[in-house]
Amino acid sequence: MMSQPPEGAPGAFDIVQAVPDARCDLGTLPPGQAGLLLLERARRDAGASGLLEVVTRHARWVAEMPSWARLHSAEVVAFGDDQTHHRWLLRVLPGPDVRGRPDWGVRLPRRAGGVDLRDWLVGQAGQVAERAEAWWGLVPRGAVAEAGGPLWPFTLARREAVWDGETAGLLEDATRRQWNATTDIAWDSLPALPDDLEWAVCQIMTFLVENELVALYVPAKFLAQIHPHYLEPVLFLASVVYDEARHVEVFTKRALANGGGLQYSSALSAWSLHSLFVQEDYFTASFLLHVLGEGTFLDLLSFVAEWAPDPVTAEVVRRARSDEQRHVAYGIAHVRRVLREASQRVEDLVAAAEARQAYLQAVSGGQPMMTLALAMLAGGGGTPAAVDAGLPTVHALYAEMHRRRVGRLQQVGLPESVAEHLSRLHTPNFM
Amino acid sequence: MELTVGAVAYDPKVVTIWELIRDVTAGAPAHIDYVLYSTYEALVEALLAGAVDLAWNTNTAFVRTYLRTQGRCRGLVMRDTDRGYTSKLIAPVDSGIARLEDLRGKRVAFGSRDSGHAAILPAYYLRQAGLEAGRDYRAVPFDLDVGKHGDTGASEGAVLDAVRKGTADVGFVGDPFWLRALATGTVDERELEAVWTSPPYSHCTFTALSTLSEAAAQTFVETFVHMDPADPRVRRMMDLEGLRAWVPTELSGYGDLIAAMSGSGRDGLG
Repeated sequence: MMSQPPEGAPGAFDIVQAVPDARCDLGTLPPGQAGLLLLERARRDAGASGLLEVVTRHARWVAEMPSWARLHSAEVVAFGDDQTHHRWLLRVLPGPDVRGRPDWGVRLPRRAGGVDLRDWLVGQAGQVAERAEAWWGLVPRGAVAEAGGPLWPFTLARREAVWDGETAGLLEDATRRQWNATTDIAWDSLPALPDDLEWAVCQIMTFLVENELVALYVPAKFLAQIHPHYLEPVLFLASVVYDEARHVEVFTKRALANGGGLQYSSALSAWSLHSLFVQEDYFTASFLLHVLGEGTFLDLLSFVAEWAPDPVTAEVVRRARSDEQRHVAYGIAHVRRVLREASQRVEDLVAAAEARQAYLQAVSGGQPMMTLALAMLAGGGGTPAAVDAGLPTVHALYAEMHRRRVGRLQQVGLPESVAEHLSRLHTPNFM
Repeated sequence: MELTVGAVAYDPKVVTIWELIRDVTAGAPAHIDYVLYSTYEALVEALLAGAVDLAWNTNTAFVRTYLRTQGRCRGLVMRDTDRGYTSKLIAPVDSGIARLEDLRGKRVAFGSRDSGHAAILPAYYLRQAGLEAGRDYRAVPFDLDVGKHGDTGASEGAVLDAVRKGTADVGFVGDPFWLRALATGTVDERELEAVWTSPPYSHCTFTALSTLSEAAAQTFVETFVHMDPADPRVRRMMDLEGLRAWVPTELSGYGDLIAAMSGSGRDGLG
């Protein structure tokens, strides 16, 4: 409410009932940087077509306000003076820097354990748009974006392509379960192993490092394509990338820690991982990597943990598996939701799996070193008898991988026949 | 419709501005191309000779065209910031100077002699107040961008420096330069203050001769006033050119400058 100026004062207000949208009291500041900064904020707070009331006790503003208004797209609606105060009512015209008003007073709920990502969808920050505009760029969701900035080339800019309500919970889980490959593993307890068993462990670690690298690079590639308006998947994939970095680190350390070292890598692995690396569609890549690849890895890591010849190797693998479970959960939730909203995309998954299998059929050779290493682990050594005894356990693992893969494929919403078909197409490289 | 606009290259950014305008009007009713000149005098001659369809003129260049054609020209579009432009008289804080009449016997700094806002109009308002340069006050001119009509701001910066250092008692600058200096903190408001503000006037305008068809003039106006600042190219151009919207030219705002430049043929301090 504007106060009534004295009777007969020059430019006395006609509008005394107007309620300004923003108010700026400049106190006794003369026109200068401090006052102009305060005015600028008040102008934005008034919003497009909003009323801004400016009050000052410094007479120098009387000559400067008309210039300021003209240069800042504001119209002087009324001006009034009394002995000590000068007041203006200005109409702020819409412009590229006056587009909307930010939230104020929206508070996140508290739950035991702190401020949780699952609760942060409040106010404008919680309004997840169906489509994110290129010009929004890195503007935080909920902030008021000034128009006319650059166009950002984020290609994953539709909500249905990237955003799931469940991701926030997975991200909280990721944060809670971070671990340290240097200090959380009891490296001092790593025992000396017979050469055959140490070799088997080192061969398996070599294979794991190579595979975990693709699990780092593929999400990193798509992370950079997701519009930051969809912040939750961006943050979650960042956690995936860091998880995989830690896995690469810990598996490499295990290979080197006991005097063994990194062993053989196969062309089959390289071609299989390359066929994942070159995927350009986030949905199918997410399916191939998180659901099929990392899903199958869960069974592989269980096997290695179960048959590990020492508790340190078992712990390394067990910790990595716990992270992988989260990645698989993300992939299943993501693919399931997309299929629920667009069931015809099943065809894309089948086509991607078939194309990948056709690509890999051209590759000769298999995984003899990895198969031998797994058999030695299960057989308890490298003797002919031990290897022979271990192989059936490895074959049982492959059967179990298939059975559980079909289960995961059904979890994402695929019919059993399609799930069977896709599982059989899956790469002998596991990832 | 293709229209060619002449403009003055007072800064390298002028090329960017006009490339952006050329780009954003590619699909507009009036597709704008441009020719750059080194001075407003050359630009006015080009307009008079028909080498360009329109000229992006300062107020001084518009009035020069107006006087040369005996009024057979028109202003079409200007920046929103060109309406109600004022000149400010800057003095040290608490100098005791409050009116133009107080400048008797003082050293008065002006911008380039062809600058409407920093020289021609201030001298005109002083004459209106009965003060003549040389007789009643000593003019301290800063002719730093003659031909550019004060566009570079270099002479206004020199005016503020002179007042701050005491080599002039007071000086004139345009209000955009003054407010920008205050807002960026390049002027300390405890050192300098504006003690007088001129009546408002119009500044730059796109100028056409009366020979430009009404249809072409209308198409040109509509193309400019409908530019959308949400388009990043438009926004960038507007930021570089110093506006938020293009508006129809306010011709009533040129009366004082026409009076100042009439008769004497002067385009500055004489």
